[in-house]
Amino acid sequence: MLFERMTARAGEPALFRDGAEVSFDGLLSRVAAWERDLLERGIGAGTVCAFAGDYAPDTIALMLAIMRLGGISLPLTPAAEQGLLELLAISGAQWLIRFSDNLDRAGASVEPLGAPAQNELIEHFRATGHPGLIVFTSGSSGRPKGILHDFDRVLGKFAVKRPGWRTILFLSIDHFGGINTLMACLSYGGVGICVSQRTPDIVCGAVASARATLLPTTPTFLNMLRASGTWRLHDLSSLRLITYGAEPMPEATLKWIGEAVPNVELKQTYGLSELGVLHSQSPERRSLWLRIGGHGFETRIVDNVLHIRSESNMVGYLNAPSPIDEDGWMNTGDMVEMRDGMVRFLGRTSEVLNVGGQKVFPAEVENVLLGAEGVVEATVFGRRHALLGQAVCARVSLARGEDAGAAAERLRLYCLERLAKFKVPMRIEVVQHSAQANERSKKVRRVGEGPSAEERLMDRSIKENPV
Amino acid sequence: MTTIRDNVVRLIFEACRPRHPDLSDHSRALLDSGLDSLDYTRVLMAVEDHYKIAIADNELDKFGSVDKIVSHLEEWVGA
Repeated sequence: MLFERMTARAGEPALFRDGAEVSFDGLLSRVAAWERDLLERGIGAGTVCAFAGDYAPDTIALMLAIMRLGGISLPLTPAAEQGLLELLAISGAQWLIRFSDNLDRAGASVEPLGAPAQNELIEHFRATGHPGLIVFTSGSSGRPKGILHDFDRVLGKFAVKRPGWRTILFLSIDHFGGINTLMACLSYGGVGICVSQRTPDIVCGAVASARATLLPTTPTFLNMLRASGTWRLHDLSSLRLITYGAEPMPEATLKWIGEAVPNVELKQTYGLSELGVLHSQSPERRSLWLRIGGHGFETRIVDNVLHIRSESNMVGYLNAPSPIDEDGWMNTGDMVEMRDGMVRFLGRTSEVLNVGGQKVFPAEVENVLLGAEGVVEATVFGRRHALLGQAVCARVSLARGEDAGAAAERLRLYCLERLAKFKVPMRIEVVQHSAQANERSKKVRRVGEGPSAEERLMDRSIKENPV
Repeated sequence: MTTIRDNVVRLIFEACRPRHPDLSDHSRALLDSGLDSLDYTRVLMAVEDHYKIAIADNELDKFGSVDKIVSHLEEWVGA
């Protein structure tokens, strides 16, 4: 279905990179070149093939070539380099293709990885003859979990034709949401716009130069836009839709973006790497409530936690027990409120803090902090404490220079006027904005323990800090 | 000259703002001096931050009153 549609649009633009468009025809030629190359090396049906790079015509063509040959793709970014061996081992990768900085096929190195450890899930999956996709999710234990998808099943979601968008490929190539965006572009005849980095200046520049109509992003990146102010320097008039997901949207951020780009539609999205991306609809532009579901998805709420049953479920985890019960339901771990058939996301169950027996949702506190003057980003997390179990702590970034101690006290008093006392951060640290986001432009929320008393004791230096 | 005691009292008042605890008796438990458990936790964290120490779970009894905190810190400083 995907390749037929691409062929039918041969002369139309498929991708945009470095100021130039690549047509579907041009992309399919690159796919064919990769296919020949892969087949010559014996890479074909059932082969697990990892590649490290970012969106570009040749990286995308490689993924499509692996798909067409019935192989299993493991897209990675250069950021995965540090834990690369573990990811390759979990996935049972047989080949690793590394792209050089220009992301061209000519500069790519193709390395065999030797005989991988047998993985029962992959062995069973190979028997289907379907192309596969492996993505990783950071497990609650800290060890990455490999997720195996049937690529045919993932593509099934795009069977019904929809309008294509000129879309910034913002979510990274190793992220299920990123692959979902790319496949939507290619399936619906949109244009995927490749960006070299996810900084506010470069993303806004790409919107302007490629006349992007859709920016799928995260609340954290929108806060980065707000903090940088560079969005004012670029022509964003082509934008029609900004979608956001991956983490709860603070009300203050939604209000700001609504005012900053008043003619742009705003839409919250929801998905999980294990289940796919659901269709969503909000009653109004600035609402945090949304109806989720769509063809192939069922939802239910159990103890305020969202459960989903999906036709595009993953095949399974490669290195962990399945989280999907025998009836096909998965506990998403996302706490929600429900009203009139719509949900509002409160945060992850794993992120809920327990302060002396009382629950604190970090997103609620962050939302209040973001309403304070001069605060452009806020991250709330728990620190283990002997007396209360956990103490609420926050990191904030400010728009302008301000004495850190004075700012912390101002913000604490601001929170005291608006939140129950147990929700008010006990420690507020002022940091640079960049310290609050990871390479996926997602908030880095330090949850739980923090340094142990013993670790902190190592730092004792009272004599360097006399009264 | 600012003493450890002056400093500890200041930290407690700052941690409890805008409320004003009664610190007229430094031997009295802080939790009986107008501080609730949240104020008290904040005091402990302020002491940790200011003196760059970590208060272990089993050390809470050493930080129950102004006198105890001062005594512990003086011992640590070697004053």
